[in-house]
Amino acid sequence: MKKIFSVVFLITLYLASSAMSIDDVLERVEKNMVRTNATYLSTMKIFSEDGDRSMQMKMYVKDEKNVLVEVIESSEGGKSRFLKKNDAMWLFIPSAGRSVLIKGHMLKEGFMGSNFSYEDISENRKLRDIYEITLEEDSLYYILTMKAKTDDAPYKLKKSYVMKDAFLPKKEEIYSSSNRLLKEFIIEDYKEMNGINVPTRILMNDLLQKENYTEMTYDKIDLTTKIPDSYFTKAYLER
Amino acid sequence: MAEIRIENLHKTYKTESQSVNALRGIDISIPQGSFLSVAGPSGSGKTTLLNIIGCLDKPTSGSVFFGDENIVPMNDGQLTVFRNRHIGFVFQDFNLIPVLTVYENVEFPLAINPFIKEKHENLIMKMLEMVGIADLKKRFPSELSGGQKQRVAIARALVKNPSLVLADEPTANLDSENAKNIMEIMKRMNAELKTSFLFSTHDKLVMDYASNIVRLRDGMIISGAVE
Amino acid sequence: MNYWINLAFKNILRKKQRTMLTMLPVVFGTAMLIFVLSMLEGVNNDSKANLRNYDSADLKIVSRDFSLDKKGFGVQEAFYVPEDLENFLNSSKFVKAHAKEVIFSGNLSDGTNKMAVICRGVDFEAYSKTFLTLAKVYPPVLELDKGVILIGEDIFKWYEMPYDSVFILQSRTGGGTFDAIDLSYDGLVATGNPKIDRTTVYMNIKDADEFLNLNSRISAIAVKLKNPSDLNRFINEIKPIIKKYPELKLISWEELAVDIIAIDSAKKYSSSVMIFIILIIGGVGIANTILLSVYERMKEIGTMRAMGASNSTIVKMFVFEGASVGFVAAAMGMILGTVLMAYISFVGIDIGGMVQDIDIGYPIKSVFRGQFDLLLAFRAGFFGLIIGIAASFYPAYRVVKENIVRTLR
Ligand SMILES: Nc1ncnc2c1ncn2[C@@H]1O[C@H](COP(=O)(O)OP(=O)(O)OP(=O)(O)O)[C@@H](O)[C@H]1O
Ligand SMILES: [Mg+2]
Repeated sequence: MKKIFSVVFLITLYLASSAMSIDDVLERVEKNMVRTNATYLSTMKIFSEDGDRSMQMKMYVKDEKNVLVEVIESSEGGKSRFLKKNDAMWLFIPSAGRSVLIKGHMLKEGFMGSNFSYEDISENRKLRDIYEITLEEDSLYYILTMKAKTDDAPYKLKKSYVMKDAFLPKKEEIYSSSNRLLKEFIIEDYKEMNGINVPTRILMNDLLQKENYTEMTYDKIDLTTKIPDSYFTKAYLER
Repeated sequence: MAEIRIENLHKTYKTESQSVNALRGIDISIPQGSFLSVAGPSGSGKTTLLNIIGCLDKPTSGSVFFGDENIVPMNDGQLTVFRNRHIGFVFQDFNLIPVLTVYENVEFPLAINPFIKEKHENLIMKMLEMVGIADLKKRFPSELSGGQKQRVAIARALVKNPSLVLADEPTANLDSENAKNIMEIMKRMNAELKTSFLFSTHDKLVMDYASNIVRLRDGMIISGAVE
Repeated sequence: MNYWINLAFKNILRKKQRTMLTMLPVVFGTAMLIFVLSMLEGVNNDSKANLRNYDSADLKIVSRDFSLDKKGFGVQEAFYVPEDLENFLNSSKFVKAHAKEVIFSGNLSDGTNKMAVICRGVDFEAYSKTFLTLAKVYPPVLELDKGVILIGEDIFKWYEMPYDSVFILQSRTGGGTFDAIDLSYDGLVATGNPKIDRTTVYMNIKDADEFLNLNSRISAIAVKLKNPSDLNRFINEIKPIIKKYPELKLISWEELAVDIIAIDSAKKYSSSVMIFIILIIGGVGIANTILLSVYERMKEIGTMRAMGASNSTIVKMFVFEGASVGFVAAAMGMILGTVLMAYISFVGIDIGGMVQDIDIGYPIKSVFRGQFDLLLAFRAGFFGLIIGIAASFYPAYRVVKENIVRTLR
């Protein structure tokens, strides 16, 4: 009897757990990560051996194809704006007085000198299209292992530890093809707003360099106020 | 070259404060082969007259004819060529080129003269012999006496066979013995080469050698104007 | 003519001391000019040799989009080597050797420090024939195995890692994927070429190919010629083959030497400033001397003019004097300069300890050599002559403008 019970328990557990497919997890995460009509005030701090830098920026997100970021204050005094419109990214530096299209190798570079690449914040493709994904789980996390299946994937190998309760990755690890951990993203903190879990503090660690990481905190998040469409134009960028 | 005719020559020097009439209507005729002295007190215009005849200076008005050629309207370049061909100078203080030997000093007029075809060495040696200093040809001017220097100057003036030699007080820096020698030499050259000599002087002794004397006072001829 | 030369020299020697003093700046100016230009030429040759021996070879075949100032990480535009091109390179009578290179930029990390580097994937044998680089590895290596890395000595200073430690080279694949490869340190590269020593690491071309997912594509073929002066003939020979592949182009080492050529022209500029200064100093000295002698000899000149010497004769006389002073001075300067030049060219100056840490943007060897160039000496000498002539014109002009009567007084 005891034996039967335990078998039933195990089957139930199995069914319960495998109830979440890879797509389910991705979808739930996406719901938390991808925002529409959001306005943020955020602070980015870049820590490195050469010294620390910080900048404050305002971000307007209409959807994943319409994003405007304005650096309003930075420790170096430089101000800039950048606009993501469909698949194009534009950078505007007021002192230079003109905007440049960010393309090719520039996309691979750190956004505003941080450890985030432009690509990290601009990837429009579905993860499914880029990576071969497998799912594991433990008591706390769904562990998504993503192996690049296209030659132009941002990363060769990526592991995402999705929190079972919040459906946000607690941590994402970037590996080399030879399984060396190169960098990691960590969602340090999040809060629930309008039924979704919004990250409020993100860390990015470069593991190839001692004490080199970037911290992004969202100080104010507004998910209700409508953002005018005119914000997502080159004219507004270069105003 | 026929005679030299000077007609109604005037020269006025203008300075800031005043103007000096150095020559006031000079008329002289100098036939080929003359041995003419210009005499007169200091400031009477002797040097001024010789400079104009020597194509070194320009008159204010009047004409200087060498034969049919009036030199007064000529420009600097033409005057230079004219001097080169026709006029020799003997200066009061010899004006030899100190870095050149006696021989080379005499050679100078030939070195700048494109008209002379004869071999320089012959001409130079002939001249040096005529003035009696052939043995000094390798000396430098600083190694010569005043009389010797003036002989070099005479040889230099005559080596290119000019039609006129101008000598402004050639004996003023010489003692009377040397002055006499120089005059003798010039007289002899005048006789042998038929070169006209025109010199200015205060010296009674020199005047005695002249075949003619033009006397100036205040820029005007007071005697001996025309031969 | 002899008469005038004689006269000019006698006049020059009239005031021997003054003439000597006048000549001094021209003598030293000319000598300095020769010396400095020879040195600059030597530096220039060194850097050109450095470029060819370690970086550019005589010629490179690259992708049409290859750019010298490509920024960011990743591989230079890569291409497949056409078979007939390879055959041609193997059979051309001009070619001494050729080597394929995969060139990419990346970050090199020892886990603590990360440095941006340029990485070259090379084949040991072909590369050793084409470049001297692999002969400058310490400790010496006889092959470049898979999985190892050779690091420019100045980069290596950043890490202070023990021999045999593992480095992580991070870059992007041909497609742009972020990736890294572990490589074990096998030696440091000390060429004396700062571009190499400060920024470049070397690895096996097969490693690079796999790491970057290039499928045997490469970034460049470096070609070393038997005789560098055959460059243009070789280019003419190879052109028809390159034309068949519009994705390829040729870059000669001279095009890669733009930096050096830029410094070269800066150098030419500064040497012309130097020449100008010497010209002024020497010229003023000579002009002054001639002017002095003009005033001293005013009466003498008046006498000459009275005797019928034309203005041009007088001017020629003084110019001849000035030219002679200039020429003699320049000739002395030439001799002095040539002796100095011979010294720095054939013996060299040991500046090893002196400039170790000075960054002058030039590759510097410990023994510095100038370039021996007699033509240079002659040019400098010619300059002296020109200075003398130019400087004596004015005084001579002054004297012929004087009134003859006044000068005779
Ligand atoms: N360059 C000049 N400027 C102004 N006046 C001059 C000049 N040369 C000469 N004079 C004046 O012209 C006059 C004639 O001078 P010139 O030299 O011909 O006299 P000179 O008869 O030769 O006198 P000396 O016997 O003293 O040599 C003099 O009054 C003199 O002061
Ligand atoms: Mg007088």
